[in-house]
Amino acid sequence: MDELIHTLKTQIIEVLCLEEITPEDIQDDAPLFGKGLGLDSIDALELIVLLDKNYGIKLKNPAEAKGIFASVKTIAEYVAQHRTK
Amino acid sequence: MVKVVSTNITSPIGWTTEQNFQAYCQGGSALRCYCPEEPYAATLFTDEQRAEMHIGGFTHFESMVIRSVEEALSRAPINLSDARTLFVLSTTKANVAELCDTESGTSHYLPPGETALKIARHLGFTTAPIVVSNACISGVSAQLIAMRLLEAGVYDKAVVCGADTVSEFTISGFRSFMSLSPLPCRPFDLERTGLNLGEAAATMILTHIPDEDHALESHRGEWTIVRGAATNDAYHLSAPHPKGEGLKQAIQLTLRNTPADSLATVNAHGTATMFNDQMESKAVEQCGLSAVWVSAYKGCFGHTLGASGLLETILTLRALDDHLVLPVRGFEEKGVSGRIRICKEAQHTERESFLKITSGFGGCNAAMLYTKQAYRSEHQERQMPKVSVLCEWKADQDFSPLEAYKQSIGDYPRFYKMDKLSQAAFVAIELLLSQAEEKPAAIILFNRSSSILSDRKHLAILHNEGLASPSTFLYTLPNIMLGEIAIRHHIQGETSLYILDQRNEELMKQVVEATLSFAEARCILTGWIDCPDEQHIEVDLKLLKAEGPTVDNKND
Repeated sequence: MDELIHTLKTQIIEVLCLEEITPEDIQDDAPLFGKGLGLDSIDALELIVLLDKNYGIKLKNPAEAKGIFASVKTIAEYVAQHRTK
Repeated sequence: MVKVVSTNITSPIGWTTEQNFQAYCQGGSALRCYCPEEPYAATLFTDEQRAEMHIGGFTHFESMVIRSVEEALSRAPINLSDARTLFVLSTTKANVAELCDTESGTSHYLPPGETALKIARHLGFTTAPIVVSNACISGVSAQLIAMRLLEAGVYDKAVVCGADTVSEFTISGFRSFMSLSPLPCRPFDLERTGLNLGEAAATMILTHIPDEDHALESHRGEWTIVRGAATNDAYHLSAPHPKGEGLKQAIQLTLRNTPADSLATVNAHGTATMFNDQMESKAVEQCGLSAVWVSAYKGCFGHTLGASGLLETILTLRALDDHLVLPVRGFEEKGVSGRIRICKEAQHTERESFLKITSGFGGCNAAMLYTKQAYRSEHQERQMPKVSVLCEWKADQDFSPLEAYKQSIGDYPRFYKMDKLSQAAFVAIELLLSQAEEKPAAIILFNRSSSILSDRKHLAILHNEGLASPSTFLYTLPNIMLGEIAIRHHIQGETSLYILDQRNEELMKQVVEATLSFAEARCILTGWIDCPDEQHIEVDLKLLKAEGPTVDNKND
């Protein structure tokens, strides 16, 4: 799980162009949206593509994604359970 | 005043305004479901229709525009070669479908300004064309700039055409935004699930009529444009302000004291996305228009992007000629919280004015008021305002937005998410405004290459990874840079992007001065910004100040 969390952090930083952030800056269970990293709805769409491309997970709508994208930890848990690649 | 002398709608359900109107009344639609594995509904021309439209030496997009303009001209012949006749093309992506074919080595891609020039020369125009590229509001923006240039006395006649095609480029992008509905869309409905894309071209021919009594009298009963306005939410690049604040502002600037009970309909954008329709309902309610019928046509035509503002205006003009407010196709049960009166069944009306509204990516909104009742326009003096330059900023040859950002700004992490065009605009405007004492109320930018770098990047991602990146797709709308600047500097006035075939100082001056004559803004940020490739950036911006009130306000 720790490895997956680290990989996810690296991938998130890359696809969202979080230039001045390192994986160490992101707490496993800190909120990603709103106050956390200041991500917005376009970032959420980009994360949906990330899950599809890298893990074969197809989320149907942004509302479903809300709970999953609460923190890196919740994403990792969801990926571990649902990944198809 | 500015009069509508002829129109055309070219869509998969008809080659003329009349055919489209009749088809709409009879329940016709070309919305079909495509791509069973990832279904979406769209209105596309069939192969037979494309072949019928095709003009040798021209692309599908160009053929569509030429057919539409020629058909409109057939009923109102005007002298296109006159030096006082203008061609305005409204489009979000013009020939981008041709860019998809570059690998085969047979690309017919031309940037939007050069595409417009090629079409204009074929049709016989001798003046330089203007391309309006303000995402989904382009069709109304194009009418607005044409009207201003006519009212300001720079031109006498204008042909305004809006068009966009549907290709893998746009489908993949809107899919990555999860905004495509697999079924025919349902504007304002409780069960709406998103938009449908559609192909169309729509043309409006406008002429200027002097504001003299006999002229007003002889044109009684014909459609005229009263006034329009554009604003920016300065809120989000892709989501509208939840309460429709920017749209509300545009409506209020447009209606002024126009009584709600003189309006036959508010023709809405009505994309059938959750956010757009909800926001529009709030804006319409807050402007005191709850009792006016709301119409919307995307349940029949889909979202025709650069054509939509023109197509929907034209269909409304035609319907009102028969005293009809057309029903919202796909609408059954109200699914928006604003108190508005959605037109479910066709309605008879004796009213002879209506309001067109629209909103788009980049936070932009526009509204326009039309009437058949004779009126005297407020702006009788055709004087261009006195304009002074407050400050300027020009990029030198080795300008690097990234270096400049790191060196002199550094506190805006969003910078790294932007495409190169937006980064260049962001840094240049940041540096320009740091030496200014006044904040601009509006932004008008010009370029040549549109968003070519992001267009190519979007296609490369699609090609290599099979899935579009929503953030890359967003920047394939060149007016997104204006959204970035509006958010950063809280600019809630008009934000407009015009694409020209080349840098043309005279034309740019005409557009800026005509805007200053009629827009609310007294202080405008304007200039040239172009990123043709990774190595070159051209930026030359000015902050301008106009003296005195707008011509429009003198009689208020």
